[in-house]
Amino acid sequence: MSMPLLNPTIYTLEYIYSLPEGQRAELIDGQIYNMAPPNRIHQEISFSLSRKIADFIDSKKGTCRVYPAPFAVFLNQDDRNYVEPDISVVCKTNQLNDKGLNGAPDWIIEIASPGTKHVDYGVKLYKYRTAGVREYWIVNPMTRIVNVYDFEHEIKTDQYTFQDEIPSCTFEGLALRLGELLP
Amino acid sequence: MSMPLLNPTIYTLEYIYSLPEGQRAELIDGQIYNMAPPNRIHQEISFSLSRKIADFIDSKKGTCRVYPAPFAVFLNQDDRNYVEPDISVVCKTNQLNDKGLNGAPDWIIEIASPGTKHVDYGVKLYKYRTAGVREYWIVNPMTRIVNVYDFEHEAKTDQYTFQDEISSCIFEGLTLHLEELLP
Repeated sequence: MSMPLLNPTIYTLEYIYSLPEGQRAELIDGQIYNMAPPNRIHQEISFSLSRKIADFIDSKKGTCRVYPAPFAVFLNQDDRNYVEPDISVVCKTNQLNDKGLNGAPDWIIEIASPGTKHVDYGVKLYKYRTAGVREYWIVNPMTRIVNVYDFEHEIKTDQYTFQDEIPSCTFEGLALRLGELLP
Repeated sequence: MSMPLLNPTIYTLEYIYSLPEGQRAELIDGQIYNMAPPNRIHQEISFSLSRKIADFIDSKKGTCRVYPAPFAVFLNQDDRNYVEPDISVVCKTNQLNDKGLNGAPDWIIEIASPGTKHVDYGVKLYKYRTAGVREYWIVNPMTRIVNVYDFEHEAKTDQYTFQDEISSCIFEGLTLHLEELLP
């Protein structure tokens, strides 16, 4: 018994750049993923987390940079992958260009939303790990749970609540409590 | 001599909500304006300004809130106007809802880009003023000029360079120096 082979269209960066102005999408392994519409709680979490991380970096006089979305990440430095993570922390600043980042951010945080959670917990988890992202957080405002993936050392990979002090894998000494960050 | 009357289509919020996921647009007086694609310098300016303003508010234990884009603003509380300013500072927090803000932010900052500058300096200047926005800044990374519109008192309306210490109209004691904020 044979199954017909699926032969899906493979999209490239050309497609992303040909989108009419205002239309936004991500591209993972040649597949298109549309972006979620804005949401207030999502923005509050994203901005608060970005501030805390940037404050920590500044306090240590670090050179890593924090980019809240929309920030263009050419994850695999190829023409089949283009993502705009909710928060990208970039330490390899020599990979930055005018468009965004040509490579993998050191730390990515995605804030799950009903329309994108299957991508955040699914294909992005796989892609971010293999692209060389060192640390990946998925913050879920619906379940108030944070999944931390310590891709570099695996040790700190765990699931936390919004009440927990969650330690960063990339930055020793940085811990974030989601519950405190929300207004 | 008579000119044929233009009879343009008037769009409503229904159109904005019917857009496929990933497609983003603003709506001003029933006209559609598409959004610019992400740009690294744009994001650096937006995040740095947002942080400085939020730090100032926190230092005064203020209750106003800062929302970097994407943040939904139903400017005239009607179905013909929907904008996503680059930075919205909201003091009337009772107008916040799950989607965003139902009314005019107290302070709006737009960071001009080649594709949107005609809107930032044009129709938005008019719309923000009449909607009750108290202060409007247009930051132009190409000319390194900041236009400040003091809609409430007019006194501070002026044009500044990135080297100037620019005072906020609504927050006494807050000054921002663009040059310092850029990495």
